[in-house]
Amino acid sequence: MIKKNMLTAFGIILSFVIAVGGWAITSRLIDTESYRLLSGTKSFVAQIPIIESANEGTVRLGLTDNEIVSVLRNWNLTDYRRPHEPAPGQIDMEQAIASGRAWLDFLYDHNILPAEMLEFSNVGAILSQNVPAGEEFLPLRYSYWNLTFRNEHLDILMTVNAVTGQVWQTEIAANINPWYAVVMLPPDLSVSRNELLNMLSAFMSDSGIRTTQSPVTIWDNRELLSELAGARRTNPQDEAIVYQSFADNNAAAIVDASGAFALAPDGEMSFFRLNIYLTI
Amino acid sequence: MRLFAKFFLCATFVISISLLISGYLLITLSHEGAINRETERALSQFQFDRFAVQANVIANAENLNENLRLSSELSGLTAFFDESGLLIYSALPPQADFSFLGEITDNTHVVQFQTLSGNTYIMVGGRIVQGDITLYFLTANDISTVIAQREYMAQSFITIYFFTLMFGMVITVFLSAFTFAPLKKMNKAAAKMAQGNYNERLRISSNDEIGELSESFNLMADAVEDKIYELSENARQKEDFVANFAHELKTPLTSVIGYADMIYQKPLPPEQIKNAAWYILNEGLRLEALSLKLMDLIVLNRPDFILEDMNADELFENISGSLKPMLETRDVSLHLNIQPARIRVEYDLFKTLMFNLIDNGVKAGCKRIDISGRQNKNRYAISVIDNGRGMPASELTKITEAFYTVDKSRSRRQHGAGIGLALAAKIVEIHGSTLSFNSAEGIGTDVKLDLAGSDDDD
Repeated sequence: MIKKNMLTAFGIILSFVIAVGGWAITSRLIDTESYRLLSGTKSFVAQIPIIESANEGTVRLGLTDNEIVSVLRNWNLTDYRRPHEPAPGQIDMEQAIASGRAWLDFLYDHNILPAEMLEFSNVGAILSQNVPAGEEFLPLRYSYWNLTFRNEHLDILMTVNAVTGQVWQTEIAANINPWYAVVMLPPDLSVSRNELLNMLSAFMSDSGIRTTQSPVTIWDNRELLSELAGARRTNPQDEAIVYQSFADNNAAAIVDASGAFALAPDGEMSFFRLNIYLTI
Repeated sequence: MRLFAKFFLCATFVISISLLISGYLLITLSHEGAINRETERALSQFQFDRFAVQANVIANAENLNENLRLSSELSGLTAFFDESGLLIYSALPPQADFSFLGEITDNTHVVQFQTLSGNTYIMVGGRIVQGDITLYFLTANDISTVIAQREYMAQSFITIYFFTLMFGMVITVFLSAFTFAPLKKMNKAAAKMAQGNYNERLRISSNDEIGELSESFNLMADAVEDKIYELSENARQKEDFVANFAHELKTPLTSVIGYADMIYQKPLPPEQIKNAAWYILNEGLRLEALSLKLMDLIVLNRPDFILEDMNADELFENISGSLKPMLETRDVSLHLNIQPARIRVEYDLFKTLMFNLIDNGVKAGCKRIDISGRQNKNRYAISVIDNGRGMPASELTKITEAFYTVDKSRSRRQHGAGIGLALAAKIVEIHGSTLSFNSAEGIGTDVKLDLAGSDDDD
């Protein structure tokens, strides 16, 4: 009987030993595992996109219309942006920035902005693809350089195709103070239809796009402009958007000057916006 | 060890191990996932920062070091090293270890975790090559919240673990008490039976193994009680048998010894000697009859009797013929009404049976005995009816016991010891039947039995 009671007591004590001891061992194992995760040095190879064929490895001059449409469709998926290093066959950062700077000359050549406003020291460039995390990168042509050129007057965003080096999308937003506008800008600065068409033609030429479609012009949103009290356009008769379709009407090149130069008479900050881009 | 302790130990073991394994997996997998996510985020952010620095190098190569310092202030905790590994600028705590940068190669980023000033950082390092300029670039992201989250989970787990375990132990105690209560009842019942209380039964009606065990216990108790009763009865019968045997033996021997002593002690007249000799002879004959019947009784306990098919009418005619002299001497008529049929009997035993039944009737003073036999399906019913003095109904249950007699004095006069019907009952039992008695005082007795029919009967 005494032996039975002793064994019973032993069993109960053993239960508590298992409970406490088990926790102590588990706690130790958790700490060990945590230490393992946080110790040592891990190397990660920078991922680069897929090189589809043997002759890829050099910058291509242009893409087919179908390829352009496919790329533009991917560029609309802005939720899955992943940066990566340039692969052979893609332009590097220096080339991308050079391409962007060359495009800025376009604005000067077409009398959009004066040369003084086109000096930039704050330049950014990021090479990315729109592909979800964990999935493999797409072929080289889907990569793009996002370039930013900033100064006290302008914010310019460019999207450059990493294979062709062509600027396919440009957004120009200006924050021009009225004094500067009155003093520095040419008084007859305007965005005429002809000027827009010229810009469109030059843009498509630079992008290597050929089409038999005729350009189309549309009216700008005059209601937007009328919200600015006393706002006036330099040339209220000018049309503000021109576009031309290509790739069997699946894509278009657009020059959108509907936010072009507006100056309030009471000295309110004016607003200048110009978008030149390919889209689907 | 008591069953409760075993149950408690097993339950605690199972609950502990389950909780501990679950907690370990939950915490480590969660922590590992968080670390991996932070690593991916840091690598992605490093790539963005790397581009920004590279663009800065391209745009401002002349005042590179100053511009790097400015860009570092904008980006957070960063450090820059030149091509030879010399530090250009660092915003990291001074105790940071940069030795792992030696593992950086082209197109690889190196990740290391370091704890600095109480905070845990994920350090990502890489190389930037732009023209003639080569830089080593390092970023550090504080992941102390991830570590704190793990510790919080571990603390919470401890609390949950012990509370759950305590709760489980309490439930185990109540569950074991509820589960083992029927076993305790069985234990008490078994103890009472061991003390001789054989009519103790369990009243557990659950539809599980405990209920089945309880039912089996009750069946066992029934069997034990029946067996005890049977053994008690056998012991009592044996005791009675021995007592009666001793008494039956003692009584004639007392007479024999007495008369023999009388003859031995003194000369007696011939008349007295003859009288004494008659008593001695009479008692001797009774002892002889008793011993013969006892031997028959012993022989009947052997299991090797073989039944044979016989014609009932021929069998009874044979028996009638054997008894005719004795019956004529007693002036008793025997009437047979036997339906022809084949019956299975052991010839000698059956003859002894009929002799005993008829002899009993004669001793009861009957003048007529009727024996009838009728086929009844696959059995053959036999009836022996006498018109003797009969017996009280209360005696009928005992008359087949050895040495039992209704009228002891009459039995002794007739050299009876009360074994005849015990023999008859034994013989009928060997033939697979039982004797049934129906008697009325002053009218007579009816003895019935049935035998198995032959297998050859139509």
